[in-house]
Amino acid sequence: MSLKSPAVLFAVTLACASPLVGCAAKAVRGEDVEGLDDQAMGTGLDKRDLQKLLHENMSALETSAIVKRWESENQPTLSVLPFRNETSEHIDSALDALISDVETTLINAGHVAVVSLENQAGLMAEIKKQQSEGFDQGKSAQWGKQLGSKYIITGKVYTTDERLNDEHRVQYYLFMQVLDVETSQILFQNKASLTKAII
Amino acid sequence: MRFWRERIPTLEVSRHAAVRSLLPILLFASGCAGHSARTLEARQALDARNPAGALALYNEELGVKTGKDVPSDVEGDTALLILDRSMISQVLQDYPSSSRDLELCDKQIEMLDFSRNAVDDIGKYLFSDDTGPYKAPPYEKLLVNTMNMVNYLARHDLGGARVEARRLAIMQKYVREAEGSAVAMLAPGSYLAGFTFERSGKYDEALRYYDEALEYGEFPSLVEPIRRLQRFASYDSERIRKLLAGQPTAGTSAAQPEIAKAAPEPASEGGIAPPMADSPPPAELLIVIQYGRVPAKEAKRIPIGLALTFGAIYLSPGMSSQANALAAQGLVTWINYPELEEVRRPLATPSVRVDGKYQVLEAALDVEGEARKQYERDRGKIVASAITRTVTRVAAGTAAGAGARGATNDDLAGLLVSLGTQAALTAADTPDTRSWATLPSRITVSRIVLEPGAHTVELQAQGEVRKMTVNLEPGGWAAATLTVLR
Repeated sequence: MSLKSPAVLFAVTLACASPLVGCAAKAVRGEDVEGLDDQAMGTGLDKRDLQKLLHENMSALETSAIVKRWESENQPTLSVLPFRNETSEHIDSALDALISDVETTLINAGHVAVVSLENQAGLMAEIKKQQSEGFDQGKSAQWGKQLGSKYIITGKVYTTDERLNDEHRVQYYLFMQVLDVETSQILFQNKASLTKAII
Repeated sequence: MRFWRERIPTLEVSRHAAVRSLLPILLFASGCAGHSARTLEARQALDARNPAGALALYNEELGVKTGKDVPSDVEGDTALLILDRSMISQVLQDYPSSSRDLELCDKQIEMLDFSRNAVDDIGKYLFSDDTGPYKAPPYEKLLVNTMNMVNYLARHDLGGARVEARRLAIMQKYVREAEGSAVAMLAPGSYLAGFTFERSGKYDEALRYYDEALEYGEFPSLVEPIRRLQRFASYDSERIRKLLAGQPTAGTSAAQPEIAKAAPEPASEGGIAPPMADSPPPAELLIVIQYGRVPAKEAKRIPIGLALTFGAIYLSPGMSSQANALAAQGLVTWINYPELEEVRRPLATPSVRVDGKYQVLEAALDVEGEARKQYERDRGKIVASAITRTVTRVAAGTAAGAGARGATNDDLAGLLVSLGTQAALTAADTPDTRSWATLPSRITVSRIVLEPGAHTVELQAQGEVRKMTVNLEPGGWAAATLTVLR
């Protein structure tokens, strides 16, 4: 590029000066800005991602044999345990929100009577601590018994995370399971997946 | 020229506008002293044993009231200020705030890494190295996750530490493939990741990380844990076999023997025998002491002749001869560029006492040494960039002066425009002194097998002492950390 022309110099000056002029940030509401929830802000899980993962898993559950079994048992008790985070992202609060979403969907579907962990802070803390320090599948059934539930729903999220040149891709896999507390038998399992990336 | 003047009457105005347009940049630049100057007072507060004062100064610079607040705009250099602040929060044992800041910056650094564009490059050549987004060197990228692992372990949060360990592994792969350097920086991160996965019951992953740590350093404290884990895991390697056979595993460890010698008593004299391979996991204390501070960058002026000896190899032949010609005419005499602080802070040997007995500390990383090595590798390119910018400024000034002279038929006006343009561009030239300047100079680790129950722990570094009582459950663990940034 020749810098001998003042006109070019002027253009370059403007180009370089333009980033110096910033725009003031302002707070907005989601409903006031069209498509605000559509924009991905990073490679973490947002509301829309959680809805997609939940929808896929709950749709698979709705059409599974376990729901027919619940219908024949006249609203058996069920608890939703925290989902384990085995990813490369700090998504624990998103996974906590997922518990409430699963409970809400189940309550509204009416197949089971949901015993929520929300009211048992001590047990919730113990489960989270145990999940943090090394997961033992056998413990899930034990917690289910403590809650007085016949079934439990639990799950885990994994990622494959890759970075190459100027791109970063994170593929999420949400596994959801329904376990029989008495036998520890897995009665339903499904995987939903989605991809987030910076490209 | 007349052709254009007749057809585009505004072009003549543009010439003057070009000159006038430099004024706001001059004014902007005069208020922008560079990152290092912005943070100097805060770093001086750290040197004066006043981390709370340093935090307040960073908060002031960020426009927030406390270390728990995040500015509404975290883009650009603000991310670097937050990165600096994260380590001060760690010093003050506000681990949640430190984690929040590090996680914020982890994402921002990635976005900045991907976002440098042509406009930034033009600015870099014409105005300043400081123009455009900050590009973190590999060692800073790798230490973001390592430092945050320390935060999570200090909070006894293995889940959070595992996320950081996974992020470190991804960054490590990227740095190896894309930038091919800074591998030694992995030693403390791999050590802590191994501990995290071991205590999470993921033994193969733990061994893989321990193996990686052994690639970059000698860690005698890993002998017993690895021996224990091998009963439950299938992972094996040549280095692990060597370690268990008492042979050296790596040649790249930092100052480990120096520190090991300085510790008066070995861990085995603490009254606890090393656990047998078939016993349950022992109760254990993890120690992480980080001390000293990496050198910040500061603006430095050197004669063009000396600059050419550093940077000539990275200049094109044309640019090199142009620089030599301008130097010979006396038009360019000094070059402004960022250099590492020359000050080397005296570092005293840190110590740890458990129940009154001294324990062995192992040096995991000489961060300062790695930062200096990295800078030495980059200095030629940095100086070459400064030379290019200076030469370009002179050329731009000459061109603007010629334009003004042609438009006004006035040599004096041409000279004034030329000098004004060069002055404006020189004033705007801020050497890029951006760096993560609150990293510790040294990282040391230790793990001590203890009987379950209460133990008094005393950590000491750079004259700072932290005393605490830890309660270990049978088979449990705790982490005691101390960060002193002076």
